[in-house]
Amino acid sequence: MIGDERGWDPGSRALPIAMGFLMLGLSTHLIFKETAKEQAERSVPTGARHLIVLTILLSIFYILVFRALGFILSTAMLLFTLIYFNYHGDIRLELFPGFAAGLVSSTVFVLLVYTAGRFITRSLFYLGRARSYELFTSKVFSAFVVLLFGAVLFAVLLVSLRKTVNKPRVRSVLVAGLTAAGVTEGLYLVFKQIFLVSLARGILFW
Amino acid sequence: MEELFSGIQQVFNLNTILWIALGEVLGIIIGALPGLTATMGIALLLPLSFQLARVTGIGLLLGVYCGAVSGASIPAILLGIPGNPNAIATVYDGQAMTRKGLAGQALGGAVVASFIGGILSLIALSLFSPLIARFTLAFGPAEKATLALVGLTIIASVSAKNLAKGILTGAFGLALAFMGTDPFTDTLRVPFPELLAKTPLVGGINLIPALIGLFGVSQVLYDLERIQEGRLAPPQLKIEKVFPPLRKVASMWRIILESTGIGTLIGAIPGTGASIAVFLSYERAKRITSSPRSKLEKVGSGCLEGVMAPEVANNAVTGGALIPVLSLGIPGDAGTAVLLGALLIKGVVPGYQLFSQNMDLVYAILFALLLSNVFMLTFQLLGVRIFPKVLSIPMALLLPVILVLSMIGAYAIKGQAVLAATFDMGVALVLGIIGYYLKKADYPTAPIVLGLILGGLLEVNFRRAVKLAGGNYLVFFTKPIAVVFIVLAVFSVVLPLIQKRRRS
Repeated sequence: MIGDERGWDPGSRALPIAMGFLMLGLSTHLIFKETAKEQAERSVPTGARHLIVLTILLSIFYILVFRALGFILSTAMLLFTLIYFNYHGDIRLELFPGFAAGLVSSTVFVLLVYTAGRFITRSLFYLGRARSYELFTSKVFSAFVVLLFGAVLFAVLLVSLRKTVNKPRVRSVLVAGLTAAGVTEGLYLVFKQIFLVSLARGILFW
Repeated sequence: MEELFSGIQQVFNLNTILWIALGEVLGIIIGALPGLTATMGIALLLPLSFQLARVTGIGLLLGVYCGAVSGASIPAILLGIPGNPNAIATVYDGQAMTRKGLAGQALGGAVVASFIGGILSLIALSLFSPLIARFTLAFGPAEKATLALVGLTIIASVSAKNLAKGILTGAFGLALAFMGTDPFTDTLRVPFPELLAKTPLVGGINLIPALIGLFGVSQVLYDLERIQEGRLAPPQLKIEKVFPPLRKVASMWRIILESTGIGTLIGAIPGTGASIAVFLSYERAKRITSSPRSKLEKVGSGCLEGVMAPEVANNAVTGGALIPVLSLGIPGDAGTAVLLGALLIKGVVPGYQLFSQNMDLVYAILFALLLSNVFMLTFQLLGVRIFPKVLSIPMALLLPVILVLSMIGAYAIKGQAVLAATFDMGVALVLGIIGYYLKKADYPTAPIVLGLILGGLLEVNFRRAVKLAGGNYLVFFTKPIAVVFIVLAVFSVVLPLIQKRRRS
């Protein structure tokens, strides 16, 4: 580079160090300036604090298990857990039996939806190739068909579970389970099936 | 002429039209939900736009931007809670009109005003951007470095109540931008090199996960604090007579023109944003309508004038804020800062070169913005009874979905390299947590984004200028344009201090 041989480059550390000193100076100034009132304004209600900690911890866990467990399972479980506890506004011991039962049934449901989706996609693909229906081999078309299937399935479930949904104890489980399954499958269709993002498969080999 | 047709062709095809329409609908929904901002919407949809063709992706983001800015008026009018700070001034007359049973007219007036403001500012954008961009021909490294500095200091001083907090977060953004390898020598430049040298951090902080973290994840954590407040209940209103009488709109020509001018001008000043523009235009409209000669209804009494003035300014900001983005590469507000990041990722380099060599792309961006405004008018008028229903979506359901969308969005950028992609999720989460604590302590996050975007420009040109001047650090004071920028930067820091002293 021009001038390097004479040492005219301020160097790669010049600006980072300058920023470091600037931040240090300003932080020191702000620490001493902060009032007790400002500190008090930052307090968070207990229930919300629990939910924030849960969200952060589960997000870390999600990142750690994402590759091993796979997108479908880790996403559905994260979503179910967060929606369930957010719905109740806090994490209380008496909520755990419902949570455990809901988590298992929701995971099974997600797996069923995913398997059905894969089956539809593959069937369309094979059919398209065997019968030379070009449309059937299109990734967008198969994603659309799976989406349609999902919409019909969810509509049927919502209608048939209409009376159960109104019972407050099961409402949170149903809402969390259905949302987790729907969002997970929707994201899978958009990112994996349409945009070919390599979402980790994890333990799901099919 | 060929470039004009090429621009039209790039936008007016089924694929792009559908994506812009989708962006518009999503934008309106995001804008209508209190707590969710246009910036967050753009950040969340960045990964999706990344998968699309250049103009299609930019169109999607512009759709979200326009939709979210105008959608914020829905809760402002119906509930008295602005969807985001841009709609604060709409609350006064909008809520009063709802109480009078004129919710339909207020919603319709807000949409028409948003459309007028958006289109007029689009004209300003297409007229002024090439002129300002031509000015950049005279820019060398010293001018570019000081331009980046002025962009940073303005946004740092305007976006925070406390100047020190604004500068601190700006410096933090710059520090993040410097992470990775040196642009000149490829020297490793990460903290704790023994630990981090083998991580993808060596390549620096990826802009999209950083944006998603700062605006998506942090917002989720911030909104969790209010989750116990439950869902908002949209009032059961009869929404009728949506389209405002044309004669009434025409009689407000002075308010509309002045609000457009205010919105476009304020939007074009880096760092100012719509919340200042809406108050200025509201105050101006108040003054116009309270004149004894005025035949208009008095602003503040619950009238269309009071809704339309801030809404015109609000959407005029969208075109105005894009002027410095396209011509100088300096964003007008946090939303356009994210848009600028998207443009850079898509290979669009703002400045004179864009207007001299990629005019078809400029036309395409302008047409995409035009189409976004047309869709905004159409969808909002057609869905005036439907969109208010999104207010009843419970936050308990929405926040986890946004969190997952943020995570997968951060992952999708490097979606083919699983390890690097998973690492990006970590970046989004860490910056999300930092962003949350910053918000809690009333620190602005917009300067961080600007620091991240402008860090490279600042460093490369600062070092290049010093090298070319033979190690003379005073080179920045020998170039007239650079001196003007330095004076502006100093002015933007000193002015708030003087104002504060005067007030106290």
